[in-house]
Amino acid sequence: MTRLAGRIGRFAWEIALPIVVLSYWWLATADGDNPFFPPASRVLEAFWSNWFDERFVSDFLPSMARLGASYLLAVGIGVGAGLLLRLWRPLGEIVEPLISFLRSIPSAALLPFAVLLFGIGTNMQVFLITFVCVWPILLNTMDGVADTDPTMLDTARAFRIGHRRRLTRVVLMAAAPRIASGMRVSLSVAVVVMLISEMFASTNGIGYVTIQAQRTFAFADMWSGILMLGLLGYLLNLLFVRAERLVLSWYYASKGR
Amino acid sequence: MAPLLSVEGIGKIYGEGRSAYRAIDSVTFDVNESEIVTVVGPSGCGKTTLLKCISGLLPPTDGRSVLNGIPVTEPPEGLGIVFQDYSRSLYPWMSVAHNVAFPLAGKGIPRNEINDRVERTLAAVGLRGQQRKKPFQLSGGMQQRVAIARALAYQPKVLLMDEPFASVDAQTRAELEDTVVALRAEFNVTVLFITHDIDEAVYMADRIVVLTPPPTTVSEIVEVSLPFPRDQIGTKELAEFVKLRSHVYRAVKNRWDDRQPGQ
Repeated sequence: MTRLAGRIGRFAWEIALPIVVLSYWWLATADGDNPFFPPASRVLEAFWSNWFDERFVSDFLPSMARLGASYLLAVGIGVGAGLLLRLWRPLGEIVEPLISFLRSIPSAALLPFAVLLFGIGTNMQVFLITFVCVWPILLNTMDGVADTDPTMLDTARAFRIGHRRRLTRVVLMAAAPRIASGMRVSLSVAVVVMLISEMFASTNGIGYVTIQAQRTFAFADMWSGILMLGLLGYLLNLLFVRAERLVLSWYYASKGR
Repeated sequence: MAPLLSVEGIGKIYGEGRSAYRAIDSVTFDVNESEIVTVVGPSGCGKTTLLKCISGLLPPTDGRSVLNGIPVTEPPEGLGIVFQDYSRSLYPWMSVAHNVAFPLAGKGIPRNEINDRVERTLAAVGLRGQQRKKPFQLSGGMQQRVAIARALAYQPKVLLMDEPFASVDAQTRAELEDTVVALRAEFNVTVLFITHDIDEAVYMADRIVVLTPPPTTVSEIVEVSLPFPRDQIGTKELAEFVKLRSHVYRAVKNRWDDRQPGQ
């Protein structure tokens, strides 16, 4: 009973808190005497007309396409390379110092190089986002594969499971929870890098619209961009956690969570 | 008749040079078709190491095991293993039925044959109707039954069991012992059963291989002439059982005391 009450309470708070914050925002900006903080009604208007009209196609979709393509690439490369580096130990040991160097380069520092390499445009952005997102997935895959229970591997060997099935049905599955936590980190990183690349080297996209609005003193539009980016980050994470729960339901159930 | 499985002077040394540790000195015994042979020894006498060497999971330093006339280098066809730690040997992302079917897939066995085997073996271990559950939804004893069904569905000539009941409660343990003895008859499988429990070793066996403490050798091989079917109460009341139990107990204990300094 108290657990139920606690859950209801928490749920109510999750609803109430945004309402409180939004109301405060509405009231505090209603008189519109601070140009940096335009009235909430104008921001919401701008939000609607920006993101659900022509900019949906010209800016929102390109951003999402870059994000999606880069993220999928990063997952593919990260999981593939992580597996390879663990299954072929000597290579892993040779490459490991290089990995720790590359992954510590801040994404913004790579931007000038990426522009040199690809020019301004989608290729450069996909390169940059992918490059930064690969590392958490790669390292988590390596750890997950290395931590595979030896009894599980012995069992697979004892029953003469073929190499491919051993890899896809045993090793990858055992590493899946670790891979998923790497993917979750990468997802939020992806949004940040997308934003940076669009703000400083792009001709469209959510980040581009936001920074252009700021430069032209269109503060309502600027806020509409910030709001969109915040929502996007929040919703993507929510979606990811839901999907993870579904796909790894055996993992959470076996851990009693 | 040639034995189905021969263990021929298997020895295992871990490490090299001065830090080398001789876990197993030399172990030799035979297992004939349809026998239940139990291997018993004091804790830490390298029973699991021995099983891994016999099954081809671990290369022995000396000697070899021969299954059906063929020396073992990798886990051979015709060998099913039940590990001690069922919770790590069953795959938690697969259902009970999928766990049992997993070793059969990709080996050219027709789909309906696989389904038949899964159903038959799960029924034989008393898990009818649990096919769709995940292993962690079952009790420990039931999980080990899944592992036994998986090994049986693989239709091995020899079933290797590594202290399979060490982590279940006493009552479940007795039930599982009876299950294995009954399955031997039903599936005509040969069983090599490793345990540290002397009662269990005597109760289940046609023959008992008694091991010494490390560096491990065979202390003696004891023939068991207790009648089948065995019964947890009736069999254990027989004078023969009591005599064998005491005999094996002394063999294990004396050897162990010999190695302990100051006794």
